[in-house]
Amino acid sequence: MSLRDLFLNGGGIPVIDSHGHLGPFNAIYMPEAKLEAMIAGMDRCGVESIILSPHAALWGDIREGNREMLDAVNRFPGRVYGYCAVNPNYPQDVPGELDAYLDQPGVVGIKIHPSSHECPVTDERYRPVWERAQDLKLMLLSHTWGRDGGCGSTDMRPVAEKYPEVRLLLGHSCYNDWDGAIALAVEFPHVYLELTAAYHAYGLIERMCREAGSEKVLFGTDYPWFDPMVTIGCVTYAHIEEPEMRNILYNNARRLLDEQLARDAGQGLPNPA
Amino acid sequence: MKPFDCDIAYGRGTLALPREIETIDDLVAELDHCGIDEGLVWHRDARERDFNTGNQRLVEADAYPRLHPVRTFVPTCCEEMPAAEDFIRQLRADGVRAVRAFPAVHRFLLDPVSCGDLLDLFAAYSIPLLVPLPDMPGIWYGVYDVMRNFPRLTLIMTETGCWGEDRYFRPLMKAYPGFYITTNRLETAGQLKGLVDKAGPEHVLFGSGLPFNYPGGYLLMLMRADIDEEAREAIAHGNIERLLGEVPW
Repeated sequence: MSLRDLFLNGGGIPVIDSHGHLGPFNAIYMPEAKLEAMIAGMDRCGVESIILSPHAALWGDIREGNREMLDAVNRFPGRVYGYCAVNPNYPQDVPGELDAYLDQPGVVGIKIHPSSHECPVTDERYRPVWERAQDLKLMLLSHTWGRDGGCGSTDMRPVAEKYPEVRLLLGHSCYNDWDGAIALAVEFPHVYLELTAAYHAYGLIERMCREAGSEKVLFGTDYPWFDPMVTIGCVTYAHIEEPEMRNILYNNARRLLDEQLARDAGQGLPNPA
Repeated sequence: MKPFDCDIAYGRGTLALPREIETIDDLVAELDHCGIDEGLVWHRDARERDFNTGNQRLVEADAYPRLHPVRTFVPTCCEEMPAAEDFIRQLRADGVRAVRAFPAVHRFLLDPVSCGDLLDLFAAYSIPLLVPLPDMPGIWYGVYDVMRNFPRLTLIMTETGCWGEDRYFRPLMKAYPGFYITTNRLETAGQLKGLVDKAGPEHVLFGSGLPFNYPGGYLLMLMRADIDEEAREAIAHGNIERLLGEVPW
C-alpha cells in the first residue's frame, strides 16, 4: 500500500513536526491550543514528536512562555521538545533565558520571530543569539517571510554565511520567495526549508525536492494552528517518491534531533522516546 | 467516497506557479492522481485577463462530463454582458449551473445597485455564486453586506483564510441557510470538527483551490477528520450535489 493510501485508510508512519506552538493566540479561533488537546491531536495524526515554542514565548512577556515550554517538555518527554524563544527588544533578558533553558533536557534549539519583534535577523541585538547557537551547534528556527523586510531570503543570507554551525531552519521557507529560500538551502549545507504555511503551494514540495533535495525539507505545521493532516496530505499527494516523503515527514527531523540529543548527552545517539 | 471539488482552475496565469495546470488535460490528470471524481471548474483567464475570454476557453470542459463549468460575470451596466434575463437564458442553454465573480480585481461591487438584477435572478433560480474572499471588496464586511442584501442567495466563499476565521463565518451560517464556505484554507487544527459539531456539515463544501493549493492536503484533512461518515460524505460531495440539483436545469 502506498504511503498516501496508508494515511487515507487511517494509518500512516511516524511524523516529526519541527515547527510547533502551544496555547491560545489572540487573532484566531484555535480549538486544539491546550497541551492535552495537542497531544491528542498528535496521536490522531501520528505525530511522534513536536518541537515547539509557546505563543506566550513569542508575544507578551516571553519569560512566561519559556517556562510553559519547559513544563510541556517535562510533562511529555520524547513527545514534546522545546525551542527557547528570545525577544531582542529586551536584550538584557536574552543571555539569562538562553542560560536557563539551553541546558535543559529536551530543549533542542532557539526560536526567533524577527517580524513580530520588528528586529531584522542581522540586527546587533540578535548577535548573542547567533553566537550561542553557533557555539552549541544548535537548531535555530527563524520565522522567515518573503525576500526582505528583516527575515526574508536576502536577510537570512548573511547570517547563513556567518554562522555555518547553526542548523538554520527557514520557518515558512521565506514564504512566497521560494527561489530565494531554495537557493539558500542549495548553497548552505546547514540551511533547511521548513514547510509551515508553504506546504499548501501546489508543486512547491516537488520543486524543493528536485532542487534542494528531500534531505533539506522539514515537516512543520505551526500546530496547533494548522491541522497536521493537511501538510501530510500535501506531502503524500505530491509528485515525489516515497523515500522523499519519508525524509520530509520524519527522517530529516529525526536526524537533527538525534544530533542535538547526542550532543546534550555527550555520547552516542539516544533512544528518542 | 466520490469527492467533488468545488474550486478548481486551469490555464497559464500571469505569475508562474511552482507546478502549472496549463491545460484541461493537465487538470483531469491531477484530479485522477488525487482521486477526485468531479469538479466545478473555471479558467484563470476569467480572472486575470478578461472574463469573456475565460468563459469562452471553458467551453472545452463540455467534453468532460465530470467537469462542471462555472461562468464568470461582471455587472450588466456597461454592455459587456447581456441583460440579466438573457444571461440566465444562456446559462440554461449551456447547462451551466454555477457562476463566479471576482469583484475586487474586476472593479465592481456585489451590491443591489451594481448587480441586483443578476443576484436577484441567481437567488430566484438557486444558482450558486462562488467568490474568493480576497476578491470580495471589504472582505468580510462585503460578505455580510451581500447576505444582508440577498438573504436567499446561495453564496459560496472560497479561500476564506487559514487563520481560524470562525468568528467571522459562523454567524453567517447561523443567519443564512444559503451561506457556504469551501475547505481551501479551512485548515486550523480541529476547526472542521468544531464546525461540524456546532454548526453541522451543511455549510461546508470540499474545494481545494487547485492549481494554487495541493488538493491532497484538504482531501486528507477531510478523510481523517474526527467527524461521522454522513458529515464527511456531505462535505465531500453531497452538499454541492444538492445545491446543483436545485438549479432548475
